[in-house]
Amino acid sequence: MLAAAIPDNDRERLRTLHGLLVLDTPAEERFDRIVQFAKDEFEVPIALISLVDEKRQWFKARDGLQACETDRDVSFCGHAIHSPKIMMVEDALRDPRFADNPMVTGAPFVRFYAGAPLIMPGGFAVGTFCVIDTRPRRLDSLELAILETLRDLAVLELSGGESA
Amino acid sequence: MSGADRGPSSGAAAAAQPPAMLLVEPNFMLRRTIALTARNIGVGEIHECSSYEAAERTLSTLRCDGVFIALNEEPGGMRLISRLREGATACAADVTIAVMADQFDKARVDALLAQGVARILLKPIKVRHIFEAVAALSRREPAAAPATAN
Repeated sequence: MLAAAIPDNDRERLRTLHGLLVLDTPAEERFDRIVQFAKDEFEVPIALISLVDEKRQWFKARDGLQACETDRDVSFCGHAIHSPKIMMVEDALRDPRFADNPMVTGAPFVRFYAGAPLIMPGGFAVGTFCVIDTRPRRLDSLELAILETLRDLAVLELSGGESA
Repeated sequence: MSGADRGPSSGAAAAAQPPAMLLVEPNFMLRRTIALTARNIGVGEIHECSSYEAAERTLSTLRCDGVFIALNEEPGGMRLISRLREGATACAADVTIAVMADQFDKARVDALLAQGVARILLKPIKVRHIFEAVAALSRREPAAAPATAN
């Protein structure tokens, strides 16, 4: 397994994340409805708004996953925040970064992952909006555009209406 | 919601202009996702209304190439279709109309087809199926009986 690298700007990125004052807050309908919509639209078992903290990823909204957080070093989202584009892993078992990841070899048995970085107005990616499946698959260009739209809606909610 | 009057659509300028549609859908997530995705991928401008009343007001000044209406048990949806066909809006009386609803009985389907509704879609519906319908409408495919895109 390849643990996600720590971005060079992680200190500033974390400052942006912590400034949102959203970590460890209760579930909110305005976020829950976005992940529920994604789960239905993409017919996936899991959809998440994941915030990548210093040592963990914490889920502001989750549908289909019991855990409220996982270690950062096993997170897919820790990889996805490195690029402004959607990170898509069509089959984690065929990807050397993730093939022996405990999230792949054990519950929730991730095989497919698509995560759009939550890039805040200051330019820092504080986490991802992601969909996960237990079978290999891929998203076409329209589905990727829909995922980006849902990500944009999540960013709007996180930033209080100020778009990136 | 944007609501600029496009004016009469004719000639090369109109042909170069991306199509404008009005989506009448109360569900915020479905409505916003469709409109924002359309903008992101550049398939045209999709204006939004969450109610039939708002749609009537918008269509009094907004000329659209197509109107997508979510029907419910209220009469306002069918009234809006009648108003469009009567030419009582800024749209051409033969504007392309598509509808979606949780259920359709034969009488309702017959009424919709009599009004020249081009697409009849069953909910629940996915955003991608709306875009497929929009693409089909832009190709001016013939009217279709209700069907899910699943």
